[in-house]
Amino acid sequence: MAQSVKEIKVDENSPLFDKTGMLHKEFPSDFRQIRYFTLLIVQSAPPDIKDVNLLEQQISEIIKNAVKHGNKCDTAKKVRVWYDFSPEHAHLIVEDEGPGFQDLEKWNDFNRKRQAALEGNDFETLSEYVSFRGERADDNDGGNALFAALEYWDGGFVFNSKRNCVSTLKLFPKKRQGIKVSR
Amino acid sequence: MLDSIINVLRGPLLAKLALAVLLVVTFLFLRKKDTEGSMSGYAVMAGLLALREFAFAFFPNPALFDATDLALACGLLFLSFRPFRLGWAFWVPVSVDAAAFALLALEGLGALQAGFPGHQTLRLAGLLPAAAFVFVPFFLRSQADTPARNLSLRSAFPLALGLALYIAAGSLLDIDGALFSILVSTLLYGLVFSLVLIFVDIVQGELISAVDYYEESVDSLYDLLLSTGTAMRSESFLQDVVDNMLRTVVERCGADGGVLLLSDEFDETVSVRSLYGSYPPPFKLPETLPKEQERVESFVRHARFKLGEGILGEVSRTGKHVFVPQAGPDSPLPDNGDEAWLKAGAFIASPLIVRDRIIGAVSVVKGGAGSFTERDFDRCKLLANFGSIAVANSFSFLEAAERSDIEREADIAAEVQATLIPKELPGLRGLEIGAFTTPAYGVCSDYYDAIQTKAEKVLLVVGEAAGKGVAAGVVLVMIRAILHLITASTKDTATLLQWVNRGITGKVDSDHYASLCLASIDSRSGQAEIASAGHQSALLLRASDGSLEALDAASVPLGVARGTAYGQSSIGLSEGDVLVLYTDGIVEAMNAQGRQYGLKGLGSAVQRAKGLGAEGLAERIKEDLDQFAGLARPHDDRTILVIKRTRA
Repeated sequence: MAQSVKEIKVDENSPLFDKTGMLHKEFPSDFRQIRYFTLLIVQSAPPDIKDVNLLEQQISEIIKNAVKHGNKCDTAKKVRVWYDFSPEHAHLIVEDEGPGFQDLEKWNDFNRKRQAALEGNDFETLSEYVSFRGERADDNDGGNALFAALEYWDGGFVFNSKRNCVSTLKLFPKKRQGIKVSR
Repeated sequence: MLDSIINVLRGPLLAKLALAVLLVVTFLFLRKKDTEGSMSGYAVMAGLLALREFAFAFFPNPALFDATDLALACGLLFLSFRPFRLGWAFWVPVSVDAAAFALLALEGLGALQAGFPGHQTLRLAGLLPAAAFVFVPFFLRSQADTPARNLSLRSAFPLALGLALYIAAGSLLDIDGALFSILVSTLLYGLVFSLVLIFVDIVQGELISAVDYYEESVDSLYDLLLSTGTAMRSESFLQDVVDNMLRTVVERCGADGGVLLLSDEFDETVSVRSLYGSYPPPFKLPETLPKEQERVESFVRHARFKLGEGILGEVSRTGKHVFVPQAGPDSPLPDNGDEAWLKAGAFIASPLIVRDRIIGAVSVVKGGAGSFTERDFDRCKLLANFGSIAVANSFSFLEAAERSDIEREADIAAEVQATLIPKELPGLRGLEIGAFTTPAYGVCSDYYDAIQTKAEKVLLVVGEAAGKGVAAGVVLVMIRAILHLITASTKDTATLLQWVNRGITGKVDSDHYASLCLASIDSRSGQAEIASAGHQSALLLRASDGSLEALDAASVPLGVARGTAYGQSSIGLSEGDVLVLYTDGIVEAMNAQGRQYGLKGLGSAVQRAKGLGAEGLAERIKEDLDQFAGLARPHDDRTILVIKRTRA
């Protein structure tokens, strides 16, 4: 069964934008402090979450996008973060004051082709889709952090209509103790 | 008439009848131990014998006596071989006997001319069943698999011999004569009685072998529990538990090798976790896999099956055992090639079930022409049942250990943090200090301090490390150590911050971040010097007009860059003025409705309690915050330091 291609969605009314009960912090868009902000956020993750380092890394990527691509590292501009963790999920909303992710459709298109090349074992085509580069990307942008992010945030990856606010959800699978007997 | 009755009574009849009744009772008694119904048949036989004796005592007709002897011989033959399915070997002697019986009966009733062909001759037809008793068992020897069949086979030879003797003696001797009556006819009883003895012996033998089997089972269970139990002491103990369990199952089932599979935590699959001995795979190997012993073994060792996939996946899905006693055309095992080490002959697979959950499966094989017995299968089932519990216990133990690791870390972090908090706050004329801190479980990242630097000067410190647990504790320890070393200097608070920042930035690794607020206050003049590194803005309440002010200064937290220059601001505190330093956990505290306490909540709590001393203020703020947050789980430490200027 071919898996439906994951993509970045735009849906202002997505339930993922419901901030009820979520913790909230605001930060200046200081690139050097991204890891610091991330640590402050992950602080509230319950100790039961297993791969907390990966979670930290993925949160850091999203904040980095907001600081760098959204607010262009303008420290006068703020990044607002809402977050909520439990052993079963991690929910994050990050909002910047930038113009929004304009290349979103381009990125989805790029990802679809990349995915098709990957599934068709077409490595020649795939080599053209190794890294996505927006017009303002610099040498520090790997161009593939979003691929990993989309894989990681398996509960959804949604932008608002203005595309300056992204909401992501990660579901942690519950450990199964054995298989229910099916006779 | 009376005489004849007395004669009969004087004769051996009563003794014989008593013997016959005894036999009937014995057979009926043995019925309890006989599940196949043979004993009832023999009881009927003994009854008929008694009936015959009784009838003969009053109607001594030798031809009828011989006829009933043949009937009895056929009856014994029938009962003996009833547990088997027999063809001609059974019916030939029976039909010959039936013919002889018919002739004898006719002769006995006087329908035939006397002496045709003579009852002594016809009686010899009874030798045929005797012969059958000798020969038939040769063909049935391999089928002695139930007590009744075993009885038939073991009693065949004594019966043959006894019957032959009895029939022959009857032909030679006079049936009415005392010699026959005393010596020979009792032989018949002896024969029937020997059946009783043989049957009792068989039952006894079964019992002993059952006891042996159970003793061995208990022994193997002991072995299993010992090997899995002691494994729990080692480091990689789950692996050891499954390894030891599999080894015990393989050895106790007399198998050549086996595998143990466990269900995977997140997927609908089972994976091989242990391989022992030689295990020709009972599933189809991929064509591309080279048929080299090492490669195949490695493939099996890492095999993984979806539920229902292949014979092992099927056992893990249905929880049903699979038993293939030996290789054959009916075997469900695939053919992976002609190599001897690829040929699985006999195969057993048992699910590992705990309550209603399948946690895996264990499977053993015997290669080539080897075979498993029912007992091996039972043993495998037994060990799988008990082994499942050992494996499930290991899971529980692991989970508990993991939990206790998490808890231990949280406890250590809380202890570290507790040692950093000052035991008592310094008392200075003209300045009151109050504080509280409540750590959130597993976080423990807040720190506060009040360090008296001169007779009239105190340095107030509130900070929060980014991160949590022991990692945060380490940062706090570093900050505190540096602070206590440098506060003796006359430098201003901004410089102190710069020094602390240098101390924790970049040298070890780049992961030590903290926000910190320092306030150095002169208790005489009321002059305060405040410097902040990315910390929450201090809150100032002016006593004169009751106004609140957040002393906001955007700054970079500690640990970001070694060369960060920090600024500071100076304010003058008048009598009754209150300065509040606090951490994120205070203003970001959330109630069950999802509302944050915020600077607003804190400000109004301070305003409402402004008449109290610093300690009272801190206490009142804590109460207000606790009331606001209710039972909602705290996500962060909550720390407050309150300074109030009083009359000097």
